[in-house]
Amino acid sequence: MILTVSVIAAAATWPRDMSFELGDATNNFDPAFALLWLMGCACAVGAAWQAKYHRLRALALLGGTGVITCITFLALSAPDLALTQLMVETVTAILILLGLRWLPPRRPPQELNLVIPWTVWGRRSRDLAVAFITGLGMAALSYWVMINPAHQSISDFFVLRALSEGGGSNVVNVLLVDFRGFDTMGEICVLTIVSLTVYALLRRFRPAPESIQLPVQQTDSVDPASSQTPHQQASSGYLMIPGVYLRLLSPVIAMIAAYLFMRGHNLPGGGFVAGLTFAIAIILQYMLAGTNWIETRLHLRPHRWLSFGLMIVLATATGAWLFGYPFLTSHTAHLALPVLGEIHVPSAFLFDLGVFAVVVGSTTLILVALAHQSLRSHRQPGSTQTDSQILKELN
Amino acid sequence: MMEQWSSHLIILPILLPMVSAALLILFSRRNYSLRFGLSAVSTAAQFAAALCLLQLVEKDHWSGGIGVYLAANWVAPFGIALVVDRLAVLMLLLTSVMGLGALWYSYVRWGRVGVHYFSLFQFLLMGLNGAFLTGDLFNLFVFFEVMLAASYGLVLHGYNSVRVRASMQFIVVNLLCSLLFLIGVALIYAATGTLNMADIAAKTVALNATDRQLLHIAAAILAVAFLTKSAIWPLSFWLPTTYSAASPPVAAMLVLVTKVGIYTVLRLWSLIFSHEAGGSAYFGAAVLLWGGVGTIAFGLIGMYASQEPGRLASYSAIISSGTLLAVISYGQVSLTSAALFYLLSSTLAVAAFMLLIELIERIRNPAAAMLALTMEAFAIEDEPGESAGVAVPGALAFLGLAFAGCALIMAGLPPLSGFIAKFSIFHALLTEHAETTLGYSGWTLLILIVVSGFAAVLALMRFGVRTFWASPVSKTPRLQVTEAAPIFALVLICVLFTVQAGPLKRYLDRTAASLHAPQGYIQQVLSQPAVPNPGGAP
Amino acid sequence: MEAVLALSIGVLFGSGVWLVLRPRTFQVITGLLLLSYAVNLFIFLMGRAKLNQAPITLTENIDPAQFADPLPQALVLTAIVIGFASTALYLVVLLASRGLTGTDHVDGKESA
Repeated sequence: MILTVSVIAAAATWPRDMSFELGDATNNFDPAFALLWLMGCACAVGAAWQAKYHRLRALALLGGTGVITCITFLALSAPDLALTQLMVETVTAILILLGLRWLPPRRPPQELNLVIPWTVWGRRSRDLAVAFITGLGMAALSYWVMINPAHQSISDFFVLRALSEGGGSNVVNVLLVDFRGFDTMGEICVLTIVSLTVYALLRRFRPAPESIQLPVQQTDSVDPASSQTPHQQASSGYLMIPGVYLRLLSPVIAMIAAYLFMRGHNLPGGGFVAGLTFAIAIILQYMLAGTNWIETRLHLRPHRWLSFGLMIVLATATGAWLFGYPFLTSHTAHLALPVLGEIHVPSAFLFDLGVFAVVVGSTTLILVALAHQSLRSHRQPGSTQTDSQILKELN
Repeated sequence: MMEQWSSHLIILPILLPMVSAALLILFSRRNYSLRFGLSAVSTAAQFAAALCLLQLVEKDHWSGGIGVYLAANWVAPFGIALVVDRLAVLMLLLTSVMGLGALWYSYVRWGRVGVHYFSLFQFLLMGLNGAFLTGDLFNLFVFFEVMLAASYGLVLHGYNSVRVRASMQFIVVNLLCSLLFLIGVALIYAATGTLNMADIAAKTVALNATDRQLLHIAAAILAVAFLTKSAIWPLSFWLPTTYSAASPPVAAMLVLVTKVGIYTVLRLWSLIFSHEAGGSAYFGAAVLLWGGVGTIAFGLIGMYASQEPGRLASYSAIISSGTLLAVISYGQVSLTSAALFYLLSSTLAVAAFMLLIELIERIRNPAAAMLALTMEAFAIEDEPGESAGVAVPGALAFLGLAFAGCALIMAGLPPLSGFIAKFSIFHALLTEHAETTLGYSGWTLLILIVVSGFAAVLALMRFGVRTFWASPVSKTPRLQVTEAAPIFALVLICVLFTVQAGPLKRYLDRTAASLHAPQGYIQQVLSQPAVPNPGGAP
Repeated sequence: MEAVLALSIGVLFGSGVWLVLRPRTFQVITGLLLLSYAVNLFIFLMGRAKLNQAPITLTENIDPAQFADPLPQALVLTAIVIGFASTALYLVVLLASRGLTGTDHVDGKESA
């Protein structure tokens, strides 16, 4: 748990500072860029090297590649991509860390004195050759495309019309919620489907028997935390300070989410990033305060978030029919409010609200379903509370 | 106003399942009949919508029988256009009919196992309908993902170790395909600067040499993705494991998912690499032909080698994919029309067979082997009631008849629709090409189709004899109307195809003719105007 | 810059392919993540991305050539989300498979 938390904290905070510093630096000169990608490639190869025996190390290296990808997006004028990649990166890291616990430990063959048969070496060299060839092919292909000049594409249309007809100055966001809103609608369906599948799969899942025991780190008798329940750890144990700190921080994170959401149409941000940020706020609470503590105080209903999110999207999109327009046509209303003055409410805003709800719902549903696994395994066999009771809370 | 509502009809096959899926998530704890009723109503409504679209397309409501709907009201190459033509309508009808059949079948048992079955099912229908309707390459990717994500969920439905293991492979293969799909789409964008399929086709004619090469690479990469999905040899290794592991109604729908790969190949290939495409005309036809031939051979051997009915049906699906790809690759109207006929009848027959397998298994193993397998992993929530539905008298006779029907169609023997399909393929092959120009590839194909029919007969007969005559049936199995009826209905549709072969074939001829004259499609899509300002508001 | 980016895509893709071909599920999931980075970068670069282009249109009279190509960016955003969803799903199936078959081998059998 300590390890999990510290790694996540690192993953969540470190890249954020880093990306902005380096992003500015790479704008100006090339060697920095080359150096950056030298690091990126080293991370990728390292991850490939370490993934078998050192999963955490591989994951950290993977994160390195991810951050460098973010920086590249930022340097090449794609702030929305960088932002989204960073948030997705964080959530994926949490997800894998939660799952890592249930995988069997694996020792290098040297420790077990195993001799690797030659067939394995044969397969490895074949795979290496395949990997090398495909990698080379992709590199050649992308180089070839990049040195060829771009010609007339449909993009100019979007750049020219985003503000005047789409009602927003962030072209990418206008593309997502208006020009190609139909794609976004499909995309949130994919998220919904995946979270439903995950929920259905994990709801009766039993982890492998040998993973159920507490890991060595948590049964160390010197560590006072080992004798405490997760709840005690959070309320009076070593997690108390981060717990309180994060509880105070969560309204701030929610504010950031709201801020990203509101500015989405005109500046980098939008419903998707805002949703992920909000979900991270929730999941951090889960990690620090423990599942039980949260669920006795807060009734999250991810299924409703999902369903209502989809409904909002559908209602906004079909609303256009009433005005004689096709599905998803957006409309910008100018409202005159008493205090705020005249504000500018595109219908795309509501659409984005639906996206936000679906993202929050599906991310929390997945992460919480995973979090419940550890709850289930820590419980003694004769425990009174059943899984379905706990999961009913979720629904 | 009337004009408007008829155009909104185009998007209904996507919206209906989405609305009902959203509602079903909300109702996931409510009573079973409400959930089943809602999904049944939604699927029936999709069927009705598809029928209306058929009327509109056939009555030339839109010029050339091609209707275009501009989502978000942006004109074609820029926004996302949904296009309905004869082929799309045909596939929509097939989807909703199979959806109704599979849904009906799952009423007794499979709908009760696990959670969210019905919402995932509706999402699957949404993905399928979307893939058939969309006219935009990237949007096609999105709908493919919707369809695939739902199919992962459904393959895992009522999960046990067999299904989980099979789905691991299924998911990895499809994720890799999706990545290839993305690379292909990006390359096409780099080469042509557009994503709308009609616009890509229009720009293909005048590409410069570099861009043309890029387009060809992109097409090859996309083809690998689509052909893996449609299970072409040697990329079909994943199919038998997955199909035989999935629960029967899901396996029936998966048969259709494979056909989406074929549909996409047919659509894109006939649109972009048509005879009008200048330097790119018929690009890759030989690969399709020989890939198809290889697939038939692979499926034939596999079918003959398999004992288990699930695998038998899977290999038969592979044979049908191979036959379709090889026949399509000729790019001729009469052959494409015959292929479409074959597609309809083989899809329905294999799907019916997938459903039938479970019932047959109950005879072979009266202790309800399937149920035990499912219970293994504690997935059943409420014990399915034995008394649901009414037992059918003469269950064995019914099963035997249904089996014979499916087998005849799958093997392509007279008198059912499978024979007509194969016969029209032969007829078209031999009339379009005089014996001299048919070439050895054509003869190989012809012979392989015949041999695959015989292999199917042998394999199915062997299975049938073992099941219905040689197995020690102690007591007549209980059969429920709700489970038997959908199978009966699917076979009946194939019989209808046989009786009404004339009108159907004429419709398919028109479909194929418009497919191979892509200019009409391109013009219709690119000239569709956006809805002008009706109210005067900005 | 083009050469650096092209090479990097190649390295990421190659490492990803290598990992996807490994028999252990965790390696496969790491590989899928690396592959999706490579593919996202690839899609993004298909718009011939350049340094110092504005992503935000603040006025109405503008020259589109001065702006970053927004379309590939929108495609990448969709691809990132879908990639995230698939990774999550695969991870959970991996855990389920581990729980049911007791191994993290992709075939569900320790040998082979």
